[in-house]
Amino acid sequence: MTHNFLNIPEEIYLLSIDENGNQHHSLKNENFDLVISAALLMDLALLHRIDSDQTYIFTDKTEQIGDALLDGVLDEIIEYNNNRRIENWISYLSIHGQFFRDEIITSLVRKSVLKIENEKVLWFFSKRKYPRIDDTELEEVQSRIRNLIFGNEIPDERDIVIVSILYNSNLLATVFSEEEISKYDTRIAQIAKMDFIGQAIGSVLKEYNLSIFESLTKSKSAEEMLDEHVQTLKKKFRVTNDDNLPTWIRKGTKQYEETLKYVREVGTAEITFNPRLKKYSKINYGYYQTAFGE
Amino acid sequence: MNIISKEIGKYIHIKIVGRIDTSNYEVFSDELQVFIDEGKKFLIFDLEGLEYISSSGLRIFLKVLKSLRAVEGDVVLCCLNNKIKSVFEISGFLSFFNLADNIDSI
Repeated sequence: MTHNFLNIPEEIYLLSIDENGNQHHSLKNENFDLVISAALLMDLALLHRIDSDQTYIFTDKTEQIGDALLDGVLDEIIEYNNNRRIENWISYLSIHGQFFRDEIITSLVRKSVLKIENEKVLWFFSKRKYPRIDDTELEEVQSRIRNLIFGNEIPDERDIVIVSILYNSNLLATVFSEEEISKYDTRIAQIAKMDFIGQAIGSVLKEYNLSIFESLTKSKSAEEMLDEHVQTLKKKFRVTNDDNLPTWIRKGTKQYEETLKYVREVGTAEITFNPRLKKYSKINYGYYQTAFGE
Repeated sequence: MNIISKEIGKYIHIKIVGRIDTSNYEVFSDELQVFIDEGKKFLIFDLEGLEYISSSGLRIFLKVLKSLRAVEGDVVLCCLNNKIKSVFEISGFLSFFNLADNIDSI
């Protein structure tokens, strides 16, 4: 059984990739970050670490779970120590999208669900891929969801979450044929709305307009480049108060000074920070280009 | 949250007054588990006085319904006020339950 073996974001990631490890074409780059952020919140809700109503997310139990990814998000919610709208949490957390994706892939490799493959491109350039080792886990999730939809059973809370994510993020085709989606549309929609966080994914994705980063040139100072990047992130992740920014992009913090140092070093502010490893890296747009064949 | 229960024929009538939220959903769940452990198969929830319910609370209703239907029992939601009815409706939970406008209609 996949239950307790894979967390919700891992199950969603598995459903979102093809046999070569590339992500489903309907999940355009940063949209997937939003979906994974919602999946993390939904998993925390199932584990009674957060609760919600139609509008807000609240903290529930504060004990650590023992899952690096979920505990990281839980820490952030606890630290915020206030009610925040569901949509805003989804948008805000997606700032860590690349970190989430890296952690999910690492965990799935560790659990022997994915494997690492280095592919030679033009014989001297190598590209790393993470395809499934076999289809056992994927088929387990798919058959669980198919049985639920094709039957009349009352859904359990974990399956509600999966159906809700698939429905609200246009991923139903990873489990059902077009004919099945059309035939069972009513039951799918009925189950999909049984999770308030799931409902919010739809509206976040709808509202979401991908911001285009302005091209940054080295003629700008590190401070200017970083400031522009922070303004873009604030707009994109709906942060209105600077106090709510992560420390690495919040002026006046020691970590912000470290960020500036890194921007000077790499000559770009299009960077991200892994809060667990305390490590900076450049945003890997190549990932998106590879994954979506752009 | 206040819970007042009494037996009416084969049903346990459970009147809930106040809020079911993060602070008390576990107490609510434990109280319902007592009825299930005692072998009670038919529950009526009188929700006229329910003021608020969070997702955790909604999930408890579903869990109880699922476990009672599995033993050929049932759950009836009765006397829902407009606010709570709307939450059950928007969340899609309403369609899984049998509903009653008042106790006499059961």
